[in-house]
Amino acid sequence: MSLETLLERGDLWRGGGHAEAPVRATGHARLDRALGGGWPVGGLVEVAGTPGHGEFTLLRPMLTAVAGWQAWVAPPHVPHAPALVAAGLDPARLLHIRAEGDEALWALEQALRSGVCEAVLGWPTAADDRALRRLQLAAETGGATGFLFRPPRALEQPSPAAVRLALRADAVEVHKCRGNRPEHPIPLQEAPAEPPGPLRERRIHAVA
Amino acid sequence: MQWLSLYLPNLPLAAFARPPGAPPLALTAGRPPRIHSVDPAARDAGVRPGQPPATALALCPALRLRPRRPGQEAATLESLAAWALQYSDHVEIVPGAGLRLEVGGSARLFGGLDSLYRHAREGLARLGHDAGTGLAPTPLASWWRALHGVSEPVEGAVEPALTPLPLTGLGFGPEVETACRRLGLQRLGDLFALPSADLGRRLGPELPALLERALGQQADPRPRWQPPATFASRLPLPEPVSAAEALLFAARRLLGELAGWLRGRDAATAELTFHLHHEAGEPTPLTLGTLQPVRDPDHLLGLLRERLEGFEPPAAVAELALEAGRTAPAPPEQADLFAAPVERPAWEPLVERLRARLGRAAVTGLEPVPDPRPERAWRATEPGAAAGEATVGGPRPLWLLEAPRPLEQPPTVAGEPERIEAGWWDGADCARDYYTAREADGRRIWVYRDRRDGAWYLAGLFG
Repeated sequence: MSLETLLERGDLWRGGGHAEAPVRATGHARLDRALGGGWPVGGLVEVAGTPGHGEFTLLRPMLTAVAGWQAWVAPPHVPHAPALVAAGLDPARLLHIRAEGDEALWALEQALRSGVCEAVLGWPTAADDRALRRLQLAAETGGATGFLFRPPRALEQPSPAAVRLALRADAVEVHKCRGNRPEHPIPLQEAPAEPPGPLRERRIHAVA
Repeated sequence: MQWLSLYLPNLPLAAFARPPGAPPLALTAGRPPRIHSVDPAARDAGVRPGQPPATALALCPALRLRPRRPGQEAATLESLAAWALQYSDHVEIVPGAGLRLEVGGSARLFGGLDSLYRHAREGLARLGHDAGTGLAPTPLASWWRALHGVSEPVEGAVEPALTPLPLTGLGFGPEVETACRRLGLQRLGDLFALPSADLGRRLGPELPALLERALGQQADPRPRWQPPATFASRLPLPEPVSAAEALLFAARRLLGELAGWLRGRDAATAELTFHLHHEAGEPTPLTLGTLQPVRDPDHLLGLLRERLEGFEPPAAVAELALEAGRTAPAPPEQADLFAAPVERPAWEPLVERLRARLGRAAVTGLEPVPDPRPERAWRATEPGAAAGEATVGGPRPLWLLEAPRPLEQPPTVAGEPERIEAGWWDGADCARDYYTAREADGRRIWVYRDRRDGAWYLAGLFG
């Protein structure tokens, strides 16, 4: 059994790890429970899936709750500003970064390491084990939560990311997390598509 | 420029520490003495300003009467000004009333004006101050709003933000207020509506200039408070106490003030001394030292709590004073864990670094634009400069495709479409019915039917 495989095991006790690592609430109660409280602060979250399949549903509550900067690095399309604002994100604290290939990995690392961003979302075209390790380290240094959106097949490779998920349009399956991972996919609640009322109210609903 | 005003309506009472559970307090002034200020407990008992002390005591036998201390009121404002240095190096003391600070330059250190404002309001509450606050582009506009307790920040034009404010209570003086009443002028908006020559003739020459300064039509340079080089603050207790809890209560405010002063200097302190003043005799010094320079008030309060454990002051304490010893540059890892929001490094260097390598246009903010056509409803901005309201008429997808993709099969749609017909004015007109649809694998998509040729297109993905 290789070290990689050992580290992949969620139930392996790792000396020097913090028993109560800081987290950010995901805004999805069942997912919070599964992840031991929420997204890791100072850690990487790998999300395997294809664009359009629930990424905003998954991250919207967290993205509207962060008070600091969030960086979107090399997204598949330009995020649509009216949708972001309608969801309650603060556009004045959003950084949209266009980059390709290695430049995207470099930009991700900069954003994660800087300590400026609370959340960094990245769509790198390719990321090998070494690149992921660098990003994980950068996230730890900067106290950021990094989300890497990767193709479904990425889960076949080992990864140093603290959390690994497979995302479908309406549910998320936890492949790796601290502690015991749940066996069943966790359904995600979509935020109401129609703006039913004042923005602030919707924001509360989304987080609740 | 952005001005933050802090108005302390109860400054005479704020000059004293009022631990919870303390007896009702009223301050007297004048000769013969009359009640000047009353705390909520005394007010509940029927004590009112203007009453003779004997009447007040008859209404509320437990009442503590103390003479008002104008000197201590000035010192309270100076201590608050020292605290406010964390938000601005341009602090103006409005004697007997409060502070005005220019915070436009430091907003980004706090992650924006809104969070600076929130930080300041929460900080004031933690110091135990009951304050009116205002935030506006001119010093007078923010001050007037603070005087009337309208804390909503003024974004954009100043005039509509001042128009509804009553004229009384703005410090125009009794003659002007009486004249206004006679003329039937009740609100600032009534003054704005009058020609300025008229206004000067009827209400005195100062008023038009004052209004112009408030509206930003005329420069309004404000004096700058010169902070002392060292920190010292004192807080009297209405009656001498020995209990540690009451001392800690008074210390909390002093340490909060110290923390603001230190943050303004980007400094920390490794040694500070409390002086416990008694009604007679020498004050008792109580020195706290730390291994590392710190400025977190909760940390220091914890140290004081430890220090007071098993400590018996030689006499009851009538006044608590705090002096900071040597200060040192704040250590880089210093994080005020208990102060919200968390201070993060400046974002500009990150943007500069990214742009240096990726190009200027590759690193931007994004903001909505009020155009009904989705493709034109956004634009890139300078980082940090994006703003805008959500004014869309229906759901919008996270990902809007750069170019709509023709759909071979008409999608299964339900519900009412959102009809967008616009653009006749610039030649890029469209006539479309937008629907939310769901693909077989659950993916939510945004589609439209072009009403001119009936063809279906994929416009975006909700994500």
